[in-house]
Amino acid sequence: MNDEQLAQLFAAQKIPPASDDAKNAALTAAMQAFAQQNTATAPKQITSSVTAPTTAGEALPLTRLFTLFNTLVRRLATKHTGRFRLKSRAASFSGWIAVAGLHIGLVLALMIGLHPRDEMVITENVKVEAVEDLQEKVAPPPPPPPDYVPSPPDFTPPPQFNVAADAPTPANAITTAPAKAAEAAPVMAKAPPSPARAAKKGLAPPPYPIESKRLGEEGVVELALYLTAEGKVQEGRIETSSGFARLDQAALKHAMTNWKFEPCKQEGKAIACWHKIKFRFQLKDS
Amino acid sequence: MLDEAALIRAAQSGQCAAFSQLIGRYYDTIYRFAYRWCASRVDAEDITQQACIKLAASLKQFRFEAAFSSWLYRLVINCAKDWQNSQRRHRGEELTSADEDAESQADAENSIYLQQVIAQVAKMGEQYKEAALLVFAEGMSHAEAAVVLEVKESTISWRLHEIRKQLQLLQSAQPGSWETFK
Repeated sequence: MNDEQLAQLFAAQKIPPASDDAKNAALTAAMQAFAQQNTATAPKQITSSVTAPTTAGEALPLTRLFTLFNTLVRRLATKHTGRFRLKSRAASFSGWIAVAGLHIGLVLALMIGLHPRDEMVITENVKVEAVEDLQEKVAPPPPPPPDYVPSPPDFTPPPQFNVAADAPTPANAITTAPAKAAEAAPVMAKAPPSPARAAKKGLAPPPYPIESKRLGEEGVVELALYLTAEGKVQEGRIETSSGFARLDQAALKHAMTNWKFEPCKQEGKAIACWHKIKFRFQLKDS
Repeated sequence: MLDEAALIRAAQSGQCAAFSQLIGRYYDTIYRFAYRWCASRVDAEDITQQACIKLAASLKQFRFEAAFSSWLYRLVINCAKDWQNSQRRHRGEELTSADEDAESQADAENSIYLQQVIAQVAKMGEQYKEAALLVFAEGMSHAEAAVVLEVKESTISWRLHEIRKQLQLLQSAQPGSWETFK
């Protein structure tokens, strides 16, 4: 099939005429679209884009400030660099210094100068409310435990020596003073507090640190624990180290969080006290 | 009576009468090409209406850099493609049906044959169909079709050459008659 045959085929094609209704509808729709298009693109009334000058007491809006800044920068850059074409190194350097200085000044002005009074008022209000809330809601912290004072060794009366009455007293003999012993007696009048004991369910041993296991670390750590009147451990310190900080810290941390005691008692009344306890880390036990 | 350029300028300036006269002058051309594209009177009327609306909306974009008819053909081809895409979405690929308005049996056979040719060309791609319709149906030269389709003249020649090859292959594969379909 050549071109002529194809052209003849198309030429012989019967094309039915469009219906009048369709033609009228198409023309009407086109005219409406044309009218709408011309209405939409009608020249608008040109309004002046220049804003009225601000009065002396009126604050400059931020957009106008930026416009002024940009204009100033462009003028400076044009003056020094000839529309950003570098004529000389000195000119370009001074131009860029000026531009950088203006940027820094603008940033500082934005950070410091914009409505400082309002910000102060808000800050003060917030502070006052926060202090009131704290005073109302936060419970006072518990009093710090007293410093640990090692308990004095149990009083043991000095041995009684039977001295012969007729024996002469040597000149440099050591004489005891019964009066001083009599004076110390009132101090011991108040009964010493009973020591704390572990709770009935016992004390769970601290977990053996994995690293210490691997390195074969063993030792005995002695802890001093401050127990509240309820028997809880409020504070603790390492009295004698095991020689390995890892073991010491593991024991102390475990004691602070897990252990509970029956409190010390004085005259039948539970009191807070310091309590010493030892724990031996042994690998065969772990 | 205004000449074409004056009429277009008047319509571009917003004169409704000029636009009405312009669209009345070209309505049949648009409809004819639309019918050859879709082979259905109703669909051709739809395409023509869309083309008229689009012409109203975009007439101001015409800058007299080419013939108005070339620009208008480009616009109608775009509308026809849009219509074809929408029809594919709505009812699949059943677009190749002979028009029911053919009067006589000979016209019907000719129409079927032509639609098969067009369908075969369309299978090669829409750009081949565009080139075939503009050159064989509208009687344009390769250069004029190249202006409408915004391609090189050699591209049009190459497309028509490929169309010829394809149609010859089809003829050799099915000697004697074309398969009729309803």
